[in-house]
Amino acid sequence: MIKPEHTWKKLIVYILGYFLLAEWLLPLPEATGTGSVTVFMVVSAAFFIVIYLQLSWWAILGSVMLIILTGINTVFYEESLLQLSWLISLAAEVQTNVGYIISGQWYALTDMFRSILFMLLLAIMSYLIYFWVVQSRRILFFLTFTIIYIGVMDTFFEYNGMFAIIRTFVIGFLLLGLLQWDRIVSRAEDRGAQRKIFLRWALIMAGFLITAGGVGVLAPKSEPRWPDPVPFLTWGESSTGSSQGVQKIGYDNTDERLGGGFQMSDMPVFTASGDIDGYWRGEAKNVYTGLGWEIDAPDETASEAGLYSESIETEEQEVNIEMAEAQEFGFAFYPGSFLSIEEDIETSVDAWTTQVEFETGGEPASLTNYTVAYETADFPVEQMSAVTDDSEDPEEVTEYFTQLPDDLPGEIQELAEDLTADDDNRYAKARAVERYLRGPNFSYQTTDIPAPSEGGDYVSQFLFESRTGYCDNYSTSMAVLLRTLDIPTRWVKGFTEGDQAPGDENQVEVTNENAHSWVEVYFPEVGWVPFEPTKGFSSEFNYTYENNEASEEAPEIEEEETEEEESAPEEAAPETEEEGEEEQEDTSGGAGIDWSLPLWPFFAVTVILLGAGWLFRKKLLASYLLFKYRHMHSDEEFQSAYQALLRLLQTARVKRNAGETLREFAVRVNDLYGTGEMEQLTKKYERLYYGRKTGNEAGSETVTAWKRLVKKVRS
Amino acid sequence: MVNEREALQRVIENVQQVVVGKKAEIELSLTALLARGHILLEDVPGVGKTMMVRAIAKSIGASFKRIQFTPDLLPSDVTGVSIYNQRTMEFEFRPGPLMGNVLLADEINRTSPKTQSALLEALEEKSVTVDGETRNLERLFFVMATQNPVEYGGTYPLPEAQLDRFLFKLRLGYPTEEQEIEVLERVEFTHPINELSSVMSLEDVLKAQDLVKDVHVDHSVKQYIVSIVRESRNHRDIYLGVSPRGSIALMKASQAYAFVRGRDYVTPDDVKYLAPFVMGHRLVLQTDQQMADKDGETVVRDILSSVRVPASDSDSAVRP
Repeated sequence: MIKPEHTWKKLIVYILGYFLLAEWLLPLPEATGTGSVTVFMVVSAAFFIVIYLQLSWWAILGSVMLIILTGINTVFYEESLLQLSWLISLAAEVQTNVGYIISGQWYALTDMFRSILFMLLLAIMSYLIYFWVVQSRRILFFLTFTIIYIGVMDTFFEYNGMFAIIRTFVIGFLLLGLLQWDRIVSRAEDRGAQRKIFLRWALIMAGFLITAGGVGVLAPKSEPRWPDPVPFLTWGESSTGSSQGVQKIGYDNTDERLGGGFQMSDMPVFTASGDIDGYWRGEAKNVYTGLGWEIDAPDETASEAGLYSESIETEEQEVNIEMAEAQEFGFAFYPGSFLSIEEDIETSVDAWTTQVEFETGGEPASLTNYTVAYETADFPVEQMSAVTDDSEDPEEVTEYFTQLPDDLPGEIQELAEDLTADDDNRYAKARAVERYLRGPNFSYQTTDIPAPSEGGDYVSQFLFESRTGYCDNYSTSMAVLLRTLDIPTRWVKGFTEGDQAPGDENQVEVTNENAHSWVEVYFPEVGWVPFEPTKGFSSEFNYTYENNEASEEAPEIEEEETEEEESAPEEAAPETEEEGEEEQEDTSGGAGIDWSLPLWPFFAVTVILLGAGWLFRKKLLASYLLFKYRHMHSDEEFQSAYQALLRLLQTARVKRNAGETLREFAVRVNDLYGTGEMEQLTKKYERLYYGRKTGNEAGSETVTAWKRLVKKVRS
Repeated sequence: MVNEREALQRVIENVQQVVVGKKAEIELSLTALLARGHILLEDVPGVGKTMMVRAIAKSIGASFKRIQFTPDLLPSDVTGVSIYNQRTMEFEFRPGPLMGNVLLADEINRTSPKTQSALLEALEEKSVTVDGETRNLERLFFVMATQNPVEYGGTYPLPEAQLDRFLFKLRLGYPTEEQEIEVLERVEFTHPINELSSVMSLEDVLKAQDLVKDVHVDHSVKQYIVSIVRESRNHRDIYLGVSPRGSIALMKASQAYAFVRGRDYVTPDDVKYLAPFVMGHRLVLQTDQQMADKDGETVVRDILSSVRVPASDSDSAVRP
């Protein structure tokens, strides 16, 4: 590295560079819940100082290590920096995480290790900025990305980027101006000329900043052209919102009072291995009180859950469940419909709630490890569509699963009738309601969710007032809406599939975050068919068509929805919804209530993109030039193409030295690439540039020679 | 214009029949001729200086004169003198060697400063004044002065101010082995100079001199010339840099050189190539550099390697 002369000007420019980097750190708390941003700021300031001091490489390396250690100690350890004990635990932590990296379990990395990586990234960024600002005296690239970054942060997260944008604008343009001044002055001859340049520069800079800034602030601003995507993309929502009354954490035994925020917790509940297919069922509830769900059914038990009618196709599967520490439940979680349990324990399946309780000698018991046999079903759509009234429903189903509170607001039924006005069968009605809830009228959110007060109605509050909520809101609403149409439904609670367990690919881990609720609708001759009304969740229920090839997988719910939506255009935009769902799938599905995307990969990807752009700038520039000058006709175009070629060569590290004439340079380039094109082009360019600049056609040989040379440089 | 160019090429070929392997120097000599400049050849005797000048003179059908400068040479021996004719009872002007087209001033540093300045003034004024009467020199007037760098005893080194009357200072140098054998073979029977005939008329040379003025010098090239010259005034090895007269000389020489190379515009390559010959003798180096036996040309090449050559609009900060 050539040591550049350090002047006060360079120092100022470098400090401004630091402020630009700081703008990348500021949104982190709002966007990701990253704490200790101050520490990161101080750490990067330290990096900046170390790099500015122009120490030898080992001194820089040592200082960077020391800074990272200090930073980590400040954030994660209470012990002082000089005590050795924390270093030992740090070493162990690093070792574990390196293991995770080697085995590719990125999601398992701990916060501390992420912080270490993040600080390393900051160190690299500090060097890059030093390089950009002090050595190559260019910053536009980084500034552009900073502005894009703030824009993204402002759009997709709770971060208000208004002042950040203003700050970045001022810092950035000051930087650009200073660097430009630096470049101009380096060309100026003597002090007098420099002073003149300074005056002119300062005037133009001030004028520009004031005018542009003033216009920006004062000019009328139009409304956004498209709606804020945040309601559809719910990642990154802050998880610490205020709780209103009720607050829920994970799987709860009582649902008498629903509503309020949902406290995120990634505490594991159980891990499962074997055939894992679909949501984990805990129990179903049948009585909606207006505030929540209760059970009111006769105490009947059975040996199997019996969700599905005997006439439909089912598949038997087995899964082993191991409860996490301190997680004791007196009943089993199972996908599909429960058949039997392998362990030597009595089970009683509640015929109405489908809860599988453990018993030893008639007393409730709990198990930490058990294997469940269950069946999953394919739900025949034709058969379900054939159900048009409740005449075939068994009496007890109608009795227990169509109940509604007497004081249910009438608007709910009106809405349900509106939604299903065009549908004549039960399946279509269920789908219509489901589609409505997943549509753009509602947004998914886990915080700031109101709970109904005594005498209020949970469903009505969600449907007509708040319109934001999580699974409980959606599933309850669907169940209630359908019940107003005399369709038997029940509310099911449990967990989503869960995520791949750290350390074992064949296991899934289900945490409190996976807690979920959904709806089942009764179809005679089919049984209880699940529906997924919650926005952002994709269900894997198999709805099949008879016409389909027997072996073919039934279409998933999303696909079907889009099809239907095309026939019902008034029903909102399918893209936004799909987008939401795709995002959802990206995070390996089924987070119970909310899932937040850690920002550091996002940050890393940006930096990697920046780096890749920088690395491949030669190829990118060459391709761009080939495109830009694909039709070269006039001499002017040739001149600018030739000058662009010079810049391209510079990017390819073939730089014209000071004092080297074009002809000498051309000879060198020709030797380097083993061609004759550069001299040919140079002759032509010399005639144009140093000659009388008389215009004529660029000539096809010239154009081909130019293209050939650019391609050679690119490869 | 095309004709003049072709004629110039013929001249070069012609001269090469006499002088072996000195194409660059021949080209430079013609460049000086076209730029209406003069040449100072600094070299040991016997490397073909005289032959080259005579061959050039013969090729363009010009009269050739030669003065051997000696310490006792008087200014009137150079300019000519008025002699009293007793028959006509009048003073009659006897023109000196200056009144020819091509003049070889041999060992110019051996004569007294007085005589030297008589010659050099004539170079600048293009006229001589004898006995109060101003007489113009020939329209085509080209001087090639030589100077022996080895025998300094009894010499009067030319002052710096007079050195810059010469457009170029050149060196011929010894021929290579093959070239020297070639020389021997050529002179074995008859000297080729005797068989040389004129291949370009004096009129054509004069016309070419006029055409040279039309060779285009782009603003960026002027900028480049000025940058080089200005740099010579700031260079740490140089005590006294090149004057604006030097800038003009460099530009005119570049125009003539571009013409010789068959172009109607000057490129920075021309400037860069000529700069050492044009500027080398116009500098006064610092004493320590002189002691270190460094010469002007080396320093000029050093300058050239650091002055940025303008190649696009972004290179030159000032542009109209």
